[in-house]
Amino acid sequence: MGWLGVTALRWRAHRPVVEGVPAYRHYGARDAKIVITEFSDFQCPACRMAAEAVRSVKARHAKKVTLVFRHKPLTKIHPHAFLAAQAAECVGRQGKFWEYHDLLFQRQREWTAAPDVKAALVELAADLGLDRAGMQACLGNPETVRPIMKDIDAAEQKSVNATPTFLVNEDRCVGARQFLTRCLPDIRRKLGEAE
Amino acid sequence: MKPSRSGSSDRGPILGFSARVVVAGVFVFSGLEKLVAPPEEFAAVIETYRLLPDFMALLLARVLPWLQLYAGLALAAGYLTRLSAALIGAMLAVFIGALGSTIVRGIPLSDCGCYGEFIHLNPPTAIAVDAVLLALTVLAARSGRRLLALDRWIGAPEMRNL
Repeated sequence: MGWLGVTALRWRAHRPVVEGVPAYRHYGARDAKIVITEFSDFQCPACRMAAEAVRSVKARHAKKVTLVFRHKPLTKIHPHAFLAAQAAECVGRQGKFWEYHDLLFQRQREWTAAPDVKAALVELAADLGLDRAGMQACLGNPETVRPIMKDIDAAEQKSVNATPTFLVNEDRCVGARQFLTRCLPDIRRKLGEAE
Repeated sequence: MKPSRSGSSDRGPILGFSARVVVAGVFVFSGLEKLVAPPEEFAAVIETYRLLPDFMALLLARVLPWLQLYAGLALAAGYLTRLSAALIGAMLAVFIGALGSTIVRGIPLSDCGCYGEFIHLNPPTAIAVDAVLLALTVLAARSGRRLLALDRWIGAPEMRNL
């Protein structure tokens, strides 16, 4: 009976990811055989460490791999994660999602410790040349919440509870270590086979 | 008035049964909590202890929750009570050792990963909880078979000399 229950719960995890991730959160080849979906949280230190691995994939495999970023803000332990996700959506709509993604992780300690986190996030966007007033207005717009909620639903459907979680086609790696030691070698092997 | 010897020993079966239920409940909950999540998530927790090679972490993440679940169910039912208590005691001793080693080696763990997503304990708290559970496990092994235990009904002859 226990086995049946567990199998039923696992079955949930293998349903397809919900479609509808905005184009600005895709990186790399459009019709790649390998799709890496990262569920991440901008306030999570483990995600910051994994960002280096993501940068390496972007630099080395962008022509053969599709990278998709999905929000999974762990708001119980990271109180500013949702706001950062909203800010990333605002910047993404202006075409600089990945630059802001990198900046949020590089300067994570700085903006998470700021007395006014919202202002710090707006300043980071301004560093990329975006308009401060536009960012403020966007952060107050409930429309920015919708794509994040969609990602949170998708995470639930795929039984993603921890960040960062990488779904590489059907494989799953949780954390930078698993991504570097298991998923990335698999990706390289598959790309080698495809060549 | 001093309690009589027989009076105190009468409480033994109840205490043993209570200890069995508490320890079994914790292990069944802990096992199920890990089983309903993808094993890679528990493997990521095991990796933070830096005690095992990577492939062993995923293997352990697949095996340990089942071991916890079945040992917990056996103890709850009072089936092979001493063997299941011994297995749980061994697991608790290993958990205490692993948690202690992270403190000694200065590995910062914010969560021991013992109870999945619902309960987060830091290593010192988890060690204290595991020590209490270990004491209850000893109690369950010593007097847990005397009340509402399958062992009493089906015999479990191989356990009589343990």
